[in-house]
Amino acid sequence: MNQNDQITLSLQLLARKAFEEDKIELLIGFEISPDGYARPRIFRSVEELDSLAWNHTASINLANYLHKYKDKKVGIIAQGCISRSIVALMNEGQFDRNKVIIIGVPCQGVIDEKKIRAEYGEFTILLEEEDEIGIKTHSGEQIMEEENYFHSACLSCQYPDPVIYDYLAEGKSRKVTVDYLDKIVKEAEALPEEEKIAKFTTEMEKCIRCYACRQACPMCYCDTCFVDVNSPKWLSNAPNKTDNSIWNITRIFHLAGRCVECGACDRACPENIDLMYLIAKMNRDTKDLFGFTAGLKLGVKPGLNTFQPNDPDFFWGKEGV
Amino acid sequence: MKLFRIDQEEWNRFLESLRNDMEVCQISEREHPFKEKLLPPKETLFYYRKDTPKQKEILNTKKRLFVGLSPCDAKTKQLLDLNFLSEPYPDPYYKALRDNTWVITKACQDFEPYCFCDQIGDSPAKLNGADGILYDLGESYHLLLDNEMLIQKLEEFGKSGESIENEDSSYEKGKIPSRNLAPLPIEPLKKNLLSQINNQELWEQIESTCLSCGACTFLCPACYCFDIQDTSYGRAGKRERIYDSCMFKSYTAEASGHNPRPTGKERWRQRLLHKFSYYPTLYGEIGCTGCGRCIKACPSKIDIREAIKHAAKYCG
Amino acid sequence: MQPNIVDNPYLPTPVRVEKVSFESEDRSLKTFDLACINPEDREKLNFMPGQFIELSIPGKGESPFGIASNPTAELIRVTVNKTGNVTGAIHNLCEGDFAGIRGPLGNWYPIEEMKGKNLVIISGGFAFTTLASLLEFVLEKHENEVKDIHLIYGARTPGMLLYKEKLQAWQANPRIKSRITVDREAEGWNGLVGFVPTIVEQSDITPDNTIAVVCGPPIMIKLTLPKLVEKGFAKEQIFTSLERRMKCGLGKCGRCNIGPHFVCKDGPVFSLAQLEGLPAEY
Repeated sequence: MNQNDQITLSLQLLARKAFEEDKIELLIGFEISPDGYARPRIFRSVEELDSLAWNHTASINLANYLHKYKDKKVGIIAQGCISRSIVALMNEGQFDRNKVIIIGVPCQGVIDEKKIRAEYGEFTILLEEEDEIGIKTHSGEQIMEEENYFHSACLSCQYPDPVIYDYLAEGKSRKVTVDYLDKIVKEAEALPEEEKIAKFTTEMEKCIRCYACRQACPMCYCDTCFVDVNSPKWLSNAPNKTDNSIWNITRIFHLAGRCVECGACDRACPENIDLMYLIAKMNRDTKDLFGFTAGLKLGVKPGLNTFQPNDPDFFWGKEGV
Repeated sequence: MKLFRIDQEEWNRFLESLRNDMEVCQISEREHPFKEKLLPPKETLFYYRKDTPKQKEILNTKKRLFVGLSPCDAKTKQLLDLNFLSEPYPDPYYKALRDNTWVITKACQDFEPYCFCDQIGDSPAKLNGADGILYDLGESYHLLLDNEMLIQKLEEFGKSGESIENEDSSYEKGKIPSRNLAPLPIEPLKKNLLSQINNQELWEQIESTCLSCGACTFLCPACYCFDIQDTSYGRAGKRERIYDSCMFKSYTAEASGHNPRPTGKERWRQRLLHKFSYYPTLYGEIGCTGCGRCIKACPSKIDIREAIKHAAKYCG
Repeated sequence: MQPNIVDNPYLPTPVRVEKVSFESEDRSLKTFDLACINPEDREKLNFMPGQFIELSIPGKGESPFGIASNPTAELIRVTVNKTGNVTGAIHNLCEGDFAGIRGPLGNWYPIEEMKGKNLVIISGGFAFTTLASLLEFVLEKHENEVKDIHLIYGARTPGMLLYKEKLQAWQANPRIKSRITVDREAEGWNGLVGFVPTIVEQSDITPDNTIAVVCGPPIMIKLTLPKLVEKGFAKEQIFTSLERRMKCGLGKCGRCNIGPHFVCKDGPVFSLAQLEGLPAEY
């Protein structure tokens, strides 16, 4: 039995237990769609749990749905990044720890659909074995090595195991030895000025302001996003280069000290904007400047909500100003 | 309409020759919907200046020919016409673009994983209101033209065609994809979905994992909801039309703070009803081309085909 | 009368602010009388009572307002409540400033149906705007064709009543049976005290050969309509004007729909019978 099947069975057992012991009213988890993808599903009863599943295509941050079902006793399937989102949300006072039952999953990584699509065109998932995915495309069937098609966030993941959980599914997580996004950020930093600007502008021109990135991110939960504020009107809603830049930069800055680098925003973007290099840069700067990584421990204040007298302040300007 | 036989080289030369009269664009990717060419994501309505009441209206009348889209995308024009050209206020901006746009589609030879045009009564190899359709016969093409101006240009170019009654006549069409999938139950929705407007359970089930992100509406060839925003550059500025989405919470938010569609449930209900109940009631056509972009774009992989089937269970 | 067909319904007609006045004591309501900068444009703006315009402030945006002036008057009058960005900018307009008007939009009160009948106008708060237009128009053009005219209009306080001068004239006019009321006792107020639905209930209006037009805040409409139905009014005899968030005002942007109908194009005036045919949720 491969790891994914093992995890699936384990999850079904644990979820069943949670329902039967009346610990949860509904479960936020995954089911397999007819096209072979693990897609989110809200399970409301034990009978539905036969569809509960896990595999390497489980690519959305489920913590998002906690906002929607805030008033219920909720169970949630969580691998490393999702559990960190939950911790980050709890540290921001969004949920009580005792209202959420976390069924942890040790994660081996999740594919990036766009990478596969870029190489093979449209595809559906056929099968999943240990270390391999079968896909069906126009030209027939292919077997690919999973790791080549994992999302860049997964290729850099330092925390594949859940950091908190009430139950833990049986399985082994995959340890990453090379920080892939680190390399990406360093390459971008090394570009000459004009190329940096050109790269950024190219990405920003693609943006259509659909806000899928914001909606897919569990940390973007403001009742009124700054984009929708009328007075003052911070930026135009029209999709032009300038306002798109303001939108993306501001959203990313608002995530400093809160982002767990799950890649949900990058995956959700229908225009294939490269968000990861910006997110990764922001996360690494936050770590370097303030020594903070989001969502690791319950009860710790979010990094940019605190102030230390010796916090770096070189960006304020010249002395005396 | 006329049917021409044309080979690749002649086709390229013909398109070249048209470049004197109009912009010719080859569309090779399916990611972006054709609607962006008829209803741009941002469209300037007029420029203004603060010190004078005069306005400068901007109408785009550049002639353009788009070649190579799929037939489902060509249907955009038919569907958007119904809304934008409706009386008593035909939309002059849309009209200017659309009256100066011609479309020659390429018949699909395969189904993509998310296509379902055949399941809603359409076909991947029909005109759908386009000005022409190209059938790939391997060594050459069959080009069916349904537009006087284009027919004249092709005849002037030196080709002669055969008059055809309609596109259902029998002529070589190359490989037409077909598959054995049951059609989607659209009729029950057209007739009865409105009666389910208060069925909370139905809407909760359909929308349970929706993130209200709006990606589906932005990429949908039949979605056209727009916002009008002013942008100021000091003492001058412009009024623009930009895409909006019924999936956004702020879409119907009122100044008093009241919002008729406060949660995703109401918004998904509006989306499904608009496409499969209101649009057919008003104009006779469903607001869907079966292109499947919404399914592909959805981060939660919500499948509108499943939503239709699910809703149909309640529609008798 | 047919809707005005213009070349470009998105282009505002330039107007100038002729007169500005505060309508309410708390200064939240301001009335603007607008004149066309090009006199030949005035014909384009010919409207019927019940229709609305989109008042445009370039750089800020547009807001829909029911037209409060008599259609035969030269100036176009709107009363604006300051609630946000656009209405705030409108409140900043001074005499001589210019703005833009798109319209007239929407449908209008069914004047034809009122001929030969009694007319009952019921209103509350600052929803009175289009009804003021209706009353003035009927008095000027159709006085002989309409039978009894009743006006029941209430506001929270005397200071919140709109068009106080006109109200005084109407109260003195023997042709109109007026009942102007305020919610609570107030110093200096000698008139009726009570909520509009109560005054309606206590009044002597009857449904025989009568058309009723009701405009007010949602709570007032909700409580008044049953009172009319109790008195025996049929649903085809009662008309109201709906409000939704609007943008284009032309039935194109998709925003203001209730079921397959658009409040901006198929309304905003609907009979109660028509409303019941619309989905309750939207």
